[in-house]
Amino acid sequence: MFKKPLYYLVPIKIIVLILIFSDTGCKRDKADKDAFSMAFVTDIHLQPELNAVAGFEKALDTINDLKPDFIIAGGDLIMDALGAQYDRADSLYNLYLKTIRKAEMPIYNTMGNHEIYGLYGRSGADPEHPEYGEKIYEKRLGETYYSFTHKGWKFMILNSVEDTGNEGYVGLIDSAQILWIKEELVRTDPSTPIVISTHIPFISAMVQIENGSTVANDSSLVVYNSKEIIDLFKNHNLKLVLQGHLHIVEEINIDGVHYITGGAISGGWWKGPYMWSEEGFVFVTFSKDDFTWRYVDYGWEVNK
Amino acid sequence: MRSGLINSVKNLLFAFLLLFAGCKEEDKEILFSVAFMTDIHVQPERDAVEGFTMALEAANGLKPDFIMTGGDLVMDALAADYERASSLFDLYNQVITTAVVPVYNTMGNHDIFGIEGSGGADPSDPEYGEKMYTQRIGESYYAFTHQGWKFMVLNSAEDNGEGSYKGFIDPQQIDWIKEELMGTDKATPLVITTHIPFRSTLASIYLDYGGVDQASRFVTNADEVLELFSGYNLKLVLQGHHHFVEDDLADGIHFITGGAVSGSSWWGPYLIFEEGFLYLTFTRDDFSWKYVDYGWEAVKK
Repeated sequence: MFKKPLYYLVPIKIIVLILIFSDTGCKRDKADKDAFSMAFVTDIHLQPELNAVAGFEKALDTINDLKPDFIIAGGDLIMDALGAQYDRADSLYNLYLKTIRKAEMPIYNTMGNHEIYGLYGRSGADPEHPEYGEKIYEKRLGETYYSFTHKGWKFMILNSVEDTGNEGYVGLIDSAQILWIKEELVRTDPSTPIVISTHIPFISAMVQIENGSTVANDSSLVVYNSKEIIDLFKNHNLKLVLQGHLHIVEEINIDGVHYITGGAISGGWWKGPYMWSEEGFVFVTFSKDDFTWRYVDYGWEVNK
Repeated sequence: MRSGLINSVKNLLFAFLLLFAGCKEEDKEILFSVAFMTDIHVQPERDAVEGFTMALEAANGLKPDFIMTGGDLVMDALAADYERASSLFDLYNQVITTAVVPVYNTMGNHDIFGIEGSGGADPSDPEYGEKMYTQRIGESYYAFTHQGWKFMVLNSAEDNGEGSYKGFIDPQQIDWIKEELMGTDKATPLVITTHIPFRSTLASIYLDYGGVDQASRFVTNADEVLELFSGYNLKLVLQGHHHFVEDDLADGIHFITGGAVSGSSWWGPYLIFEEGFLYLTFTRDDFSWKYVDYGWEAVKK
């Protein structure tokens, strides 16, 4: 059957095409070959109790679906080595290494305070033990500070926990790391965008939020020499500091640097959400010189 | 032919779906903009008048719907004698006429006349304390609505009775906030301006906490005030006083400290922060901001 060409439809189709491709539509991310994403998972506090393994596995399933290029873990991976006996600390590290095999992408770990074996006297740990202190972490998971580069962005993983020598810890970037940061930066182009991962935050309003506007920070809650560290990056392109430890979701934006405290995979230590923050992780999408982020509540509900 | 027409209608519908359903374009439309200019510290010295005029011209060029000031409009009434304080308010009211849009003012500690005593102000003076501000500028706390957003301007500086001030929202204002909120829809996006900050982290890294009276640096009952807004759509707290530029986001509320028009009170940039002001654009239920360095270079003398 002869079909008359429907010429009158041409303008409509053109309008459709214009509408689809024009800027009047919502701005779609331009296909950027440098674009990538990552998940920042912090304060996992993995343990055989409280259904934590199932919770962490659910988080990893959610991350696998989002297909980030890699994961950065922000510390407090396990609960707990600080005050644990060796068998417990040993089994927790094994449990963590087993559970993260579920992740379908690389994981870069950051050390938290709860990973340090035997600092608290109740652990009965012998300081001469070959895995005492941070050594258990180094043996099982690797260096406590290091850097890597991905698609033009430099990532620096820091060790922010310092043993006070009297059964406690403070937030500090030690002098060996300061030297290392300086050396790293000498080799880094000033325009290279940089991301830091630190378990203990550089900057947070947590204490003000919880205890009132005039209350000062405690040295176990924030890195007390953070200004000295931030100043090292003065002539470099520091964009983002990913922080853990506090279990809240918070973003502070100062002088072009975003300090994001990434909530907690464990929420309130696997007993439910903590303050306003659900169990979740930070999902970051990077372009050539910028990023956006959101907090992903992976839907964990505590069994009452 | 009929099916062709249907297809074309489908195509059009599809296109409109892409446009409107997927991206909620109407929610991203910029409805209005605001310049937040704080810590002006206007004075006849240090070319401050020229600097403030330059800042107002830069703000005019951005065509905001209105300007909000964040307090410390003058330098200084706290410890001034009457003539100086009076002339500073006159100077401010004269320079502010450069603005081509409405100006909503917030009172700062330096705008309170005489309570630091060294200027010899008489407490029985009809313009003593905050009265000079309320007579020359207007109410020290009030609210207004613009394009569906409600703005609440607070008076955060309180005479501490010991010859100085502290950060405090007084009980009358607490009552007033409660009343205001009773008449406010829970979905209405809210903005607060307060000279003295509710929250800021910069003091902890840039300044030494030791020996400093924190009560003069923060609103001491900020928690009590924020609690009143629980269940309401508080989006933004605009703050002055510290001369820092900082945005703290927690639990959906941004606490933004807006730098200073005067930088380091007209002695140059303060720490890493240039002389500048905030320029904010608002959509139906969201906003974004940038800090505008209006290009002032402090006089070297």
